[in-house]
Amino acid sequence: MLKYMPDILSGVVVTIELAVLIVVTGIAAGLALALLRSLAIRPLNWLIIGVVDLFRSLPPLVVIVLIYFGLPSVNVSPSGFVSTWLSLAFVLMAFSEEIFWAGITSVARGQWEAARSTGLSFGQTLMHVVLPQALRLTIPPLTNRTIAITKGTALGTVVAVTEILGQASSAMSNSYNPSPLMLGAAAYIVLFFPVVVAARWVETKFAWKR
Amino acid sequence: MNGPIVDARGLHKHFGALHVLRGVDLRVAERELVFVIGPSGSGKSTLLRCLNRLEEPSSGKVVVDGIDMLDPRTDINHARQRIGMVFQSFNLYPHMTALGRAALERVGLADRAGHTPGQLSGGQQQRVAIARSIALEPRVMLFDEPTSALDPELVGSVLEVMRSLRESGMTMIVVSHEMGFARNAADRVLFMDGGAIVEEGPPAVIFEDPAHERTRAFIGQIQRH
Repeated sequence: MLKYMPDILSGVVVTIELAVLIVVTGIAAGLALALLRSLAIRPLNWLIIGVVDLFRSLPPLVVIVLIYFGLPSVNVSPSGFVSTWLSLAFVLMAFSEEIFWAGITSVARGQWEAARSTGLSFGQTLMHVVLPQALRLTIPPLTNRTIAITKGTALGTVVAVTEILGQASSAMSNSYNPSPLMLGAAAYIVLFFPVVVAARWVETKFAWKR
Repeated sequence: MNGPIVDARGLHKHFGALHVLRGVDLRVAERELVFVIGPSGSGKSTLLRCLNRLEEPSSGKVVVDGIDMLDPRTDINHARQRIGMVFQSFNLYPHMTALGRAALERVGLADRAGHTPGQLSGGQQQRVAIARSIALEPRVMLFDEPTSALDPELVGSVLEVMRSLRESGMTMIVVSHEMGFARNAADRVLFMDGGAIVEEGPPAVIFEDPAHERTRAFIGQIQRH
């Protein structure tokens, strides 16, 4: 069983790379879309809502397969790694945009009015008054959704990404026994359990103190 | 004395089919304290909010301290720094502490600089909100029912701060039903109903001997309790 450790470990590295890329780009893009949406430019908002709803309704696996097998027909051939990254980043972008938007709209109107009445501009009010309050509200749903989508990196195995599950299944077909799979499962737990615990800590730390 | 520091003319405001302000004229002299009373929905708050353009008037003219508030070339954010506003619901920022010692001293809360709104009573929160406004050294202060959300025993501390502001010569426009305060602090009381100013005059006249039946009925109602 131990002789498959190096394979699994290299899978862990790929999974971490994918996960970090997805979280950073997905959440950054989601926040950017939510901020754009707060400008209240009608046609732009329709576009944002359309894109967001599209990626919220498509199963992540479908998005991965579409990008990996579909894009080559227009002469773009992303690798399995890039396909998985982009797909899950788009899905996380869509969900996090909705979460950020809900946070922004749940900040009381009076906060906007008080800030604007003291002469802060729209942008200053958004950045210094509204966003800090909105972000606190978004932390619990955002960490949940981020963990759920990041675990989707396992879907990359379908498009030949050598992440944990991919390494474990190929090791299993070589060894004719399921022990590499057990190793793989253990690797996921070692990887994601601290993330889940950290998320819980962040949620309590930033919980609303009134 | 120069011209009025607040000069609003022919203000109309529509919210869809609702005609909330129906041609309001309001001139306020420097250092004057003007009280605005009237039933809910009479347009008092909307009038106040049109003066710093939190609400965009449908038509009319607003000039504050010589600045045309409705001119698109006016830097509205700069202009608003000359007009302090205090809200019924305080609207303090829950993620920030009070800070700003100088302004807090003027509202008697210098020792609360490091506190967040959650650690303050309603009266203290409203006094911090007043400090937030006067920190910008405004030329005019607008008060939108500053004591309506407070427990009765906390009202006094806020009125005390408003009284000392008035003594320092601040021009103030106050929407409130604190009749006692109006009686001994206001220079002028306006009674609004149905989006228009029905009558105005010194507090003694408006409260004791109003000219209009609607004013009389309203004063009678708020004095009954």
